[in-house]
Amino acid sequence: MTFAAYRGLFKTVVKEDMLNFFGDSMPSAVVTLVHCLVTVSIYAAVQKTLFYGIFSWGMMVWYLIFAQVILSAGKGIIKEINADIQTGAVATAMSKPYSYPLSLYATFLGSIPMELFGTLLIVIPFGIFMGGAMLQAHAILFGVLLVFFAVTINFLISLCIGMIAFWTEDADPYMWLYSKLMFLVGGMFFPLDVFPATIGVIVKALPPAFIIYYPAKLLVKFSWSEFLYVAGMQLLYIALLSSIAYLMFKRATKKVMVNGG
Amino acid sequence: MTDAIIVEHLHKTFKTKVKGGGFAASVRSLFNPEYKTTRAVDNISFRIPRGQLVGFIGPNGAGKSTTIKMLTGILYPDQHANLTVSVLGMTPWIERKKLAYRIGTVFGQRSQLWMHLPPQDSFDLFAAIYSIPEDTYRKRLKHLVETFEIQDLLTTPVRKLSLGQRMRCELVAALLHDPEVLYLDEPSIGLDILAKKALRDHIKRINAQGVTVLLTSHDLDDIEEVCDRVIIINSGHIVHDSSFDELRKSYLQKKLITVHKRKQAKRLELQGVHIAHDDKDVTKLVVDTKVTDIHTVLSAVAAHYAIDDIEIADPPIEEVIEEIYRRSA
Amino acid sequence: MADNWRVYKEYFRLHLKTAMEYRFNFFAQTIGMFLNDSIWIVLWFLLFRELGTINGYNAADATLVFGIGALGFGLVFVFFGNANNIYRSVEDGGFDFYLMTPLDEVFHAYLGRMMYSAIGDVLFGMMIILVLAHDQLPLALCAAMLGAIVLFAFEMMIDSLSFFVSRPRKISAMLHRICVSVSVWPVDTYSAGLRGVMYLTMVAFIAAVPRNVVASASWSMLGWLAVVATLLLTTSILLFKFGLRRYESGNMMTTRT
Repeated sequence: MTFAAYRGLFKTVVKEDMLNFFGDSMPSAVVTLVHCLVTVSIYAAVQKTLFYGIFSWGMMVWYLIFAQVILSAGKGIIKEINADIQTGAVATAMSKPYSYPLSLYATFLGSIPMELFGTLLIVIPFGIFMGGAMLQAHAILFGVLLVFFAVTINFLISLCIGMIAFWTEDADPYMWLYSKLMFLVGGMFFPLDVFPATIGVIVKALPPAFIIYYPAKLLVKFSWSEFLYVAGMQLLYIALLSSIAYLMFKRATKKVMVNGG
Repeated sequence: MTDAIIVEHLHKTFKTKVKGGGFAASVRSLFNPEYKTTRAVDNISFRIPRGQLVGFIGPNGAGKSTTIKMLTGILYPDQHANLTVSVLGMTPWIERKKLAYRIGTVFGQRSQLWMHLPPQDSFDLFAAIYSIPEDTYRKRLKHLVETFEIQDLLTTPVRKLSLGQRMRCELVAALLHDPEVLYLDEPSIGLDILAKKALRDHIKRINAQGVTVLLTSHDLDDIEEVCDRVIIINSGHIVHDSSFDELRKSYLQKKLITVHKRKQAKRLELQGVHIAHDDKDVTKLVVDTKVTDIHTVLSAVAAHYAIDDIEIADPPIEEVIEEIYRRSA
Repeated sequence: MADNWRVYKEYFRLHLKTAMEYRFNFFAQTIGMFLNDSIWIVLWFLLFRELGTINGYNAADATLVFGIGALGFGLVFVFFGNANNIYRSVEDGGFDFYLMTPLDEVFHAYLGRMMYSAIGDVLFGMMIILVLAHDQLPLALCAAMLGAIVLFAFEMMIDSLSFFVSRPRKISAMLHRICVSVSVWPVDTYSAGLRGVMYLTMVAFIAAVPRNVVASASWSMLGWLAVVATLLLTTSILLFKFGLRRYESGNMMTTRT
């Protein structure tokens, strides 16, 4: 399959989401908004000028919002892969002249624009109301790039976890544990600065940190040096995870071919 | 009471929302919804005596499933002055739960059995659902298992059974509570020829025990071989209601004669006979028995052709049905 | 005429038997969910470490709310596991089955599934209650069960949407997620406005109020919880039956041009 074909797949998903904007994209946006509402509300009860030694109240609000938005970006593919494996659709896909993982990536990316649009539509007014319009233009501009890398890393990890289903028949438990790990060491409820020194160093080097913590932090508190560091690490992780995913997929293909699907 | 099912002046109109595709249309339909009225069942009346085996035929969307749903009580018909629906003396949608004890259903396209467990477990569940006392259940199950020959299947998970085997288990499940009326919806779908034949025998056997059976099927051979009576529904009306032979007789008075010739011959010109096909080996004739009789035609054919082999057949039942649909449209 | 208890026992037995057919999957789901829930304890601990006590709440309080909520969720989805799943059979026509037996449709419809992972929630919730509320065990268990009834009522109301809305899947999922996630977080730490909404919508009665019952060791508060639970369950059953009538009219479908 050529790049144009994957782009076509991307476009199809976007178009479908556009048609079902109120039915599909807005409900997801509402869930994200409610989660933002609640997490911000918990922090609101605390009178502090500086959270975690770094974040002002406004920054905290926007950090929590961006954390939720990034976390909810793109449809969960683990369930999809799981279902495809169990129904045997993967076996059929493997015999076709296109890359199953790449087609998943195309649909994954395609599911983002409309949902993101709907989410930002209702979440931005909330953020301005609670935390003030304090975001800087260049932070947004470059932060968006980091967000793109972040969702890609999230996709790759999900892909690997989903492929576990080739060997264990059911990837559900791994899916839950991954999402909880994302909460914990990704920085959803709180920035990773909450961890004491030595643990913090380790946690901040793991992939989840580069999915939620760093992109959200740089969007509210931009610094060039940190931006370059984060972007570099993200690309490194993308390369690493792509290789792992590739090897897993090759193994999986062999397994499917041997067992006949 | 000799009639198991009485239906008089049955109507069902569906009011469904119409939505166009696209963003703008979705918004519009939120504020100003448009409705479309569909007449699914339009003044249907029929009576089915106890113990009859009736076939229901009709194209998709004709109103068959809608009618059956109203007979089982899961759908309300339109209010109508002379409306009467009585199944075993009860109005289905009013006394649905009471009626449920006395009717059974089998759907060819949707299994009522638990896929990952042996059929025995599903039978136990149905026994509980229909409050069948333990010893009655054990006795009845033993009898049904023998009748339908599923002794060896009782401990195999349903998903591992063939479609034919599964269908026999579905019938057992439907008969556990000894229903008086049985609705069979497309029971032979997906079955091979042998399994179909076996199924037909089972249905006839059930009917011989006195169970009133309503059979819906797209397989016209099923209906022909099994049913005493056939009701044809199209566009919400009953367009035909009679026995099978009467059906054929009243709609198509045709015979198809295929002659395998030993040598070529001139075209046969005979009134009431249409040549459908003519080459040097085979000639196919369609005889209109309203215009001429078979004896005349056969004499002419024997005189005209050097016959190597000859076949005389009724028109295929599909043609008959198609003719009925065409005439009723 | 109908022997509901016998039917319930059979369904339960069949669900467990199916679980044993796929033993590995069953244990993976149960243990996986238990571990999944356990990670929340770390989350609350870390959150309150930075934020201190909020509205008199500390990490232990938040954990107790969460534990009670998990137990309630687990009880609903083990014993009436078809909750939040009714829309599926309504969409594909399988729901007709529940209408064709002599049993009460509402009762029967909820027996069709058991969520194995919810057993992990039950185990986790029991563990939390035993550790954090062992001195109020009977009260805590009663409160958790009433919270479960409240959740069940909400799920039934969400399920009833299937009878009124044409593509209920997404709205259903949205309401379910909101119901389940924010009700098991420490509701009483929310800002006043949001807390008010939670109590007004009675979502707070799923886990937060049961926890307050335990914290204040108040049997009278338990009584109020019972009243709310009964009211909500009655309303949801009535709503479901109302939806059933609509389903039986056949006017639910939407044709797309």
